[in-house]
Amino acid sequence: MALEQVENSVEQMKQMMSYISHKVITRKDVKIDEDTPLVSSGLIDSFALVEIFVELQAISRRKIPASKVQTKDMDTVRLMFVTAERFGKPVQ
Amino acid sequence: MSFSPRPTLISGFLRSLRAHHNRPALELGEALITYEQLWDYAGRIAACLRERLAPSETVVALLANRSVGAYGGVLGILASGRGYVPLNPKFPLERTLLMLNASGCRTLVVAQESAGTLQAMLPELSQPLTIVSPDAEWEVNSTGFDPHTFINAQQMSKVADPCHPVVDGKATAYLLFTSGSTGVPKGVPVSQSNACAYMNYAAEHFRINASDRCSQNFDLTFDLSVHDLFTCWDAGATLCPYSEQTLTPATLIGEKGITVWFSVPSVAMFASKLGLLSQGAFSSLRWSLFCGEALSASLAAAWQEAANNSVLENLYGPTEATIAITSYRWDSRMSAAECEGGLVPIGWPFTGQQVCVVDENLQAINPGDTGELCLAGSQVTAGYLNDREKTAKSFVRLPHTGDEVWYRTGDLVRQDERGCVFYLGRRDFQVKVNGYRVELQEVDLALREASGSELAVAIPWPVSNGSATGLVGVLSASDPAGDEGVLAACASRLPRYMVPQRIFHFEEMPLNVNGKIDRAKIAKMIAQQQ
Repeated sequence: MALEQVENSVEQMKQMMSYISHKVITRKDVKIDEDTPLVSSGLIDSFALVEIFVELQAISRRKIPASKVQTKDMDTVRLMFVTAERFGKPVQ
Repeated sequence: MSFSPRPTLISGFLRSLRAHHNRPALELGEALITYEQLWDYAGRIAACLRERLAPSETVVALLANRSVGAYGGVLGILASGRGYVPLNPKFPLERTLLMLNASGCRTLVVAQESAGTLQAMLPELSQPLTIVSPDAEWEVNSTGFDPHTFINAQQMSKVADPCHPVVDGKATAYLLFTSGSTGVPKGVPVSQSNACAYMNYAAEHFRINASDRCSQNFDLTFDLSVHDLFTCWDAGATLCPYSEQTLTPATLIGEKGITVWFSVPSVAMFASKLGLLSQGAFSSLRWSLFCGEALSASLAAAWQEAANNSVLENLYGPTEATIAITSYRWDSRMSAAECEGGLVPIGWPFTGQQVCVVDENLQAINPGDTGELCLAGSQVTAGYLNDREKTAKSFVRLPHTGDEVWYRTGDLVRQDERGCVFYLGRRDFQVKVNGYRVELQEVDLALREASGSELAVAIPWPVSNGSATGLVGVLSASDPAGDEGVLAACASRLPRYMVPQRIFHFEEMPLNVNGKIDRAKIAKMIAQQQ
């Protein structure tokens, strides 16, 4: 992966972590990083996951077919971007 | 095609077992389970319960989730002539124990996926239980739990004859618990005759057939699941539960060729957010049914475009009136103009059921005026479990209708000259959060006890299209440092959909003219902070 892509990816993951912390979980005692389990730990539910999926498409600038994605593919922020890379098509 | 009335809730399944034994009753992921295979599982439970339980044990609890054990468990308990009490392995243990104790169940059927929950429950059980675990690959670790009796798969080799259980119409078919304003969930026993009244109507109205493929979106603890299971199996059709690994259930419509869809509108809203509601995207659907919360006109129109071959109906009904009791059929040409406040009407009562709109003195009011919706008929249940006071408050006689018992829904409605009913809101503090029924006072109580503050309330927030997608807690002038502990305490006793997502703090709580906390004003204050 080119350096620019890596930097993009890091920046996008930061954006997503900020979104999840401020808009979804909103609890000061919960700190998340790229590898914090979100769904399997019960931090977010299936309703919140849909909102996160919509945000993932916006941040990654990719259209991701919802039918291809399972909740386990969205369990951590890092996995979310792997999923976006794997299934998503770039949006111009 | 004629539909004969069924004597008990399971009768339709047993008829389909005879007529379609090799057809799939259940499609779980890639696995197809025929009617015969499902009965092999259910019949072992039925035989065990028939043989071992005293006649006085009229209800049996079931701890299972979206598995052969869950569906076979429901059928096995019903086939034994008992009612089932579904428990959700994902609910907090404290709540599950409250429900189990309140139900009076002395027998619990457990499927393998609930093993962890059962092991956590065992030390907390106050009464000796008989624990039935029908899954062959799993044996409960019973060491140290001597007061209880354990029956495993090896002791359940006999399969019962698939004969109709002999039960009275008043016997409980299922017992569900809804959120209760005093902090204790309310038990609603639904009788065999209540359930069969709904099933008789549904069979005639929906005419589901053996080639249909029916969605299964609702948890067993939610009464709309009874529609999913039994309208499907009545017809010899295939039930297609969504896997919890699925991002949203609507993606299964195309994947599994679903023909009959039933969900809360929130699920449709998420499908819309995910861009799934394109023209003709759900063309396999014959029926699109929504229930459980207000359906917005814009969402109905968008869904109808996607499900262009389906009939879309908005169903309405509280658990106390058995699944659903009124319906409104969406008509793309005319319905948008008929909606009020952007919401689809809840329509007309089912054949044989009655609605009446009353004022505060329970007097019927004129068409066009706003009042409380009351319901009567064969689907209306007899009252709450072991709670005469609440039953007397909600199940009443109206001055002008003789001896008929009416259930006061607490829903504010308007009925037009044609008899069509429009939902306008609530007269109390009951709300729907993503379709789940929540008494805000139950959350208030959890917040008060967790925070030690008397000024603590739950507010539905955010709200869009008339439906809440979450709750927040509001405390008066307290220390935000304690928020995490408050939320954790709420999470330990309330189901997830009832736990506030965050806490707001206000120096002063706004009060209304009656001196009570003004929730509407607080909601506005929260909106201003965002």
